[in-house]
Amino acid sequence: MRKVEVVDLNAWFGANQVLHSVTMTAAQGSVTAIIGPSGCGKSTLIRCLNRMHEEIRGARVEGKVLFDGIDIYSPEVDPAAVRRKIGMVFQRPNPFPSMSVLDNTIAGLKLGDGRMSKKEGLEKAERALRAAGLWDEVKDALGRPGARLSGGQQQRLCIARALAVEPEVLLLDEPASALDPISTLRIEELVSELKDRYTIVIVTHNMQQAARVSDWTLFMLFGEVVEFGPTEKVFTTPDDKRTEDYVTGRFG
Amino acid sequence: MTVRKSFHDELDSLQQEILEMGELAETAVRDSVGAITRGNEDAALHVIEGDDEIDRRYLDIEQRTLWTLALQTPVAADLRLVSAIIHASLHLERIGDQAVNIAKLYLLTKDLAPSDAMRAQISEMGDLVVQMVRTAMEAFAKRDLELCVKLPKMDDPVDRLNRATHLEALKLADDPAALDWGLHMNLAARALERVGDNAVDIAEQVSFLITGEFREFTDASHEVVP
Repeated sequence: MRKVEVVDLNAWFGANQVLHSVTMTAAQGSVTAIIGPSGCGKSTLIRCLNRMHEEIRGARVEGKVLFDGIDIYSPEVDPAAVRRKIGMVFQRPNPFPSMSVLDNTIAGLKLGDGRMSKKEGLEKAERALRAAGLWDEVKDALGRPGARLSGGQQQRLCIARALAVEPEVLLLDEPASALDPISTLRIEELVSELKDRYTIVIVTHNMQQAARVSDWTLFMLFGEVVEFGPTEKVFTTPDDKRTEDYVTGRFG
Repeated sequence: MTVRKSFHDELDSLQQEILEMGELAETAVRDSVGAITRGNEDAALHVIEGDDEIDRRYLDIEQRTLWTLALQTPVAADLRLVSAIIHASLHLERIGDQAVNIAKLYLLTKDLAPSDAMRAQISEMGDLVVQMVRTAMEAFAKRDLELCVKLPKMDDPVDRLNRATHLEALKLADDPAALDWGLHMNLAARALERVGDNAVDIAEQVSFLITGEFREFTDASHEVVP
């Protein structure tokens, strides 16, 4: 089932067009990786999927992004509501530094519906931290500042924070690029575990990471989609010569 | 906790499939020899039909190991395991084909009078090579180097019997029908001898998997110093 469908999407920073007629889908319960050289539009594309792109001054979008068949760019759609359903985790772990692990986890929930009992907050935090594979490491230190965790733990805390608001889609923008190799593998394993419950789109400049974690791979170049297909195919018998050259390290 | 659980689950599953393929190949050889020694046409037909399943597994393992290499970049013992699985699956596929060859040789000669002496040789060879395949796969499952190095020794009587069937066939030269049967059985013996070689090759792969050092246990063109 198509959870997210991008149809003929174009995006600009001022007069500079950075996405050219991008079309792709993300199936329910799958991991889609977006790969391509720096500046090819990967991050712009993923930021268009939950209306983050437009937050930048001068940025604009044309085309459709359908979430469960509804265009998230329709005038009547509230961007904040979109972002609750389509959560995002960024390249650098960005927990609120002075907030405790517990408060960090439920920060998004507090911003949304606001009132929540302490017990309810704890329950929701535990569920999110368990889903993010962090619970066992922090359950005895929920009151510690989030910034005191290791980089890998901080990133899983950010994933827990994104999961706490119970999104249906999770966008990961190079979530492991600032982490050490073992923390990276932990994040990748977490992605494999989460895909049963969430639809995941991950941007990565690490091709092997895309190969390891994703079901579908989209290769972009100069703001255009060069190839979009099952990951096994893209990494064994790609259709396009440019994809072949990129994944084999012959350019880029 | 393993940080790459899904990848290691896939390796476990691949290993399970290669072990099952080993059992299928071993059974196919035993049944093909049984067709000759007991004159069992159904067994021969069953071996020929059953080869599709061995081929299916071979293709499945081929595809999955290729994807594993392309997508998971296995290293160290994981890489050696994938390499050993690729090689072993090809050898097992060949063993399955040899069983089919033997079954077909039986079907071609089932109306000819057999030589008891030669049939006994084939039977003994069959028992030996089935045991070799089983030992190689057991070595794989248990990562047992001592079992691996037994294989070349187990292969010696197989080679001797293979040469002996040739001499036995010559004794049938006076009777064209008997000779016809004997020449076909000489080919069956040759197929069994190849099964033995494949088992030795699998043991070499298992030895590489365990030690990280590749060495041939036997070499047709040179004496191998143990």
